[in-house]
Amino acid sequence: MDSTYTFQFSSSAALEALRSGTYDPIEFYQARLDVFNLSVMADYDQLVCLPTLTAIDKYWYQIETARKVLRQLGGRALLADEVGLGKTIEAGLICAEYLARGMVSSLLILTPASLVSQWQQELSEKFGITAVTTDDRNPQQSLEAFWTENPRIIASLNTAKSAKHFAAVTGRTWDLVVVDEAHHLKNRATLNWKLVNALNKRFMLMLTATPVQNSLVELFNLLTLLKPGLLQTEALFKKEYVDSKNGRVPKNPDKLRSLMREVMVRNTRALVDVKLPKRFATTITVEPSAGERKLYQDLNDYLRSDETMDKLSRTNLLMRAGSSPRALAESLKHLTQRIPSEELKALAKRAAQVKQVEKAKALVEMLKKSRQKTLVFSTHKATSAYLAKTLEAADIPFAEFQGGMSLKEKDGAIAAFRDTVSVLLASETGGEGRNIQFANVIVNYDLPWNPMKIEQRIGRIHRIGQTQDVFIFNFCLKDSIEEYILRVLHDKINMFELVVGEVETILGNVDDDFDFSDVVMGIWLSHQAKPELDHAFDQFADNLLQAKDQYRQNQALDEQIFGEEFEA
Amino acid sequence: MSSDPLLTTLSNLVSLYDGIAEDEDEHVMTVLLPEAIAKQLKLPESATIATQANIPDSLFVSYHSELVQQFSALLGQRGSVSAIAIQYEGYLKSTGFEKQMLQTLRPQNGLIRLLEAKTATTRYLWCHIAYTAEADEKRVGMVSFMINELTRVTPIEIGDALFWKSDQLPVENPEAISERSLHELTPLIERIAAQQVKVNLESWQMKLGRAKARDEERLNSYYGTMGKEIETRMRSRLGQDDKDRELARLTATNQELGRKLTDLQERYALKVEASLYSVLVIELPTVHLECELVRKKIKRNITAVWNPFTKVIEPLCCERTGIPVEEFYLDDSAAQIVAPGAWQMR
Repeated sequence: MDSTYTFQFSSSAALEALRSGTYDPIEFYQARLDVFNLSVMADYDQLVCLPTLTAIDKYWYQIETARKVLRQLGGRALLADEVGLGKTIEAGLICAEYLARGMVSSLLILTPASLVSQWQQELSEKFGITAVTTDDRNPQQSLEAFWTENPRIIASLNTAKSAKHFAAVTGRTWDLVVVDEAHHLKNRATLNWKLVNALNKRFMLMLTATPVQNSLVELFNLLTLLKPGLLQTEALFKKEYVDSKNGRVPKNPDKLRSLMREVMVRNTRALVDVKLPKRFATTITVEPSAGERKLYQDLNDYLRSDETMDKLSRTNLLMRAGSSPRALAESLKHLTQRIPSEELKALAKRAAQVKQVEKAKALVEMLKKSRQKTLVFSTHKATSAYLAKTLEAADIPFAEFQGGMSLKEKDGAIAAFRDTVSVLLASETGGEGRNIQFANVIVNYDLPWNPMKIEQRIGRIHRIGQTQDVFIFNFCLKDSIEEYILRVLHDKINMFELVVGEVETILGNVDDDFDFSDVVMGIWLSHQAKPELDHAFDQFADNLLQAKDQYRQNQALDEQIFGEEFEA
Repeated sequence: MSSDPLLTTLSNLVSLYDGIAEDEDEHVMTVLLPEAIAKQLKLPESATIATQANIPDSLFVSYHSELVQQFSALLGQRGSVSAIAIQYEGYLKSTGFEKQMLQTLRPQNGLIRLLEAKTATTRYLWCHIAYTAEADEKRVGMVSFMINELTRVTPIEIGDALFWKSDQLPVENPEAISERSLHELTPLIERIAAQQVKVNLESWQMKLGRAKARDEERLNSYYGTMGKEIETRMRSRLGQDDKDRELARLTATNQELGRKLTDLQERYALKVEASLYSVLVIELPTVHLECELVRKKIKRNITAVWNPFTKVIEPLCCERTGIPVEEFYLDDSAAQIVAPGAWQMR
């Protein structure tokens, strides 16, 4: 008999009523169930928001974390899960729950600048929470009005702490403050820390996978923001809990952990038993046709020579050139309406006339040989449309899943992919929130320059529920910017073997406002000759490698300090 | 209408007791109650109820509010059992089941033969089990499952039969469940409840197991170190009295460790109490398939059920273990249906 579990079933009024045939109208039956549901919600045994959240996969440990923060930690917590377990989802669940219960009406989310729009999008799409960002501010609206009139705001730490904004942000009360990448608050002397300390807040969540990077005092600084006085003063904390010879080694670890349990949750992969199959990545470098090569070369020459064109247009043209000639032609055509350049017009015409697309040929060859369920991603509609025609001509059955399709069409596409065809042509949003783990091959026909977007694509099938090894094929043209990006991400930092989420942390270690695609674009446009390009990209890769080493060291230290004692 | 579950439930309760509830917005509702009900709830006959504390002249309610308790008390045991009939607009065929039946119900050591198919009502019991689980904290929850009253098969799905409210009809004078039937159903309810509650609590139980293992390791390490220190002292040159004293200390330390480990066992053991909270009896139009089971010279008639909402012939019930079976054996003495697992263990 299991001595750790006992189950006792008692007789009840319902059993008696069944025996005596005492039936009530259905409305009473429904009311009785509803009253029970309220009692379950009262102590957070069940979260009110859960039934409404249909756009996310919710895992038990995320729900446990939300419950623990709401029920035991009183809404002030450090969420320090290992990378890739979904701290954002946990924070979103807590926000959604507080909002559903009417316990919170104002919400401030502080993140690194690069994550502001991602937070806005995720809160809206996954949790139905609308929030404005500082970028949404109407220029006519005063700063004070912006900060006081909007109940839910997402801002970068840098913006919020700036002299222009500081007073307005700290001048009002916030029901809930969420700080993402909270290790940026590790130093009490920084404006980051002072800003969060000055905020007038009721509940607060701090999210970081690496709470301690160099010294235990960083932990003191973080936890003091959450519960001032919990670890007393810095001097007393050091005396009581930090080894005098090494600031990274705790003294009285048991006592320190028992205090930390009042504010901290840290789930680890080992604890939550998230075991994913292996993933294998292959770069397929395609030799472009003469026409493709010349077009790509001429476009680059034009972009390198014309410094008047805005950054967005240049990035867009290069990305589309890496996707397909059709996508490029479309973009160039639009651009010539804005910029009357003969050179651009000529490029547009040549792009539209490219007949031989070598990448598409390579894809067809690959798909003809494969029997696996394959998800083919392309960012641009024009590329998708071209691929659809190419697959049709090659007699390869496929389904299409595009962002603009209706729910019913999307369901139909997934069903066809599951039951009848082996190929799904998908846009960036392909299959988000849907179970498509029956597929185990991904083709990145074009490559997003943002590594997090690449991860999102892989995450569509490399997730809980996947039982087979996952194969990723990254297509690129020889001597293209994508070839260099893959060399950095794949060959140098082994991104495709990292756990989902790790690359984000590593890039965050390079610099607070590090933007991968900006750096890549900068290197590409400022160097023309191959040896120079090789050297510049090698240097860039070395920086990323250093950041990766730093991340590994932090991870080891946190593992040593926290172990597995803080699970939800 | 407010999507707030608290206000929605209160609004339904008010209507149930002949009151009127109107939403003002997502968080505020005004209610008009009959005098007697208002008195029982200790409320004025007209009141504004809000789920936010800052609404002037309103009664603030939360999930813990007394008002919820009062409504619960007012409801008492009402709603424990109810019954509805489902109407089916389509045509219920009574022929052409042979192939589907032979594919679905597969005796491994005998035969099954379809004698007759006829439309008939089948009653399903939708059972809701409330439970309270307690270890280092207390949690309440509910599991629900269906039982086919005729075949005793559980858990069973009934497809989208409950999807359209307009297809649900009240049942005038529903028939009571017979004593014999209830006698057989009660252990089934208990067994499925035990299984489903355990599945519900699995993650928590595992977490408790991990926490217990960590605490045990900590205690063993702490008291182990103390024990070793005492043993080292005992090995040094001590007088008999001191040795006896150290021995007593060692015994006490070991006893203390034993006590603490027992406390841990108690603290992390999950104790679950469950009971049948409510039941909805659902009368569903189905097709009853009268079949003959043949094992050697023994013949026996049984009824299988085809559900038009799932379009499947439901499994049968193993008469030894109570689990649903499609592939089964027939015993030699009475052609009883036996699940393969139970058959192996003969």
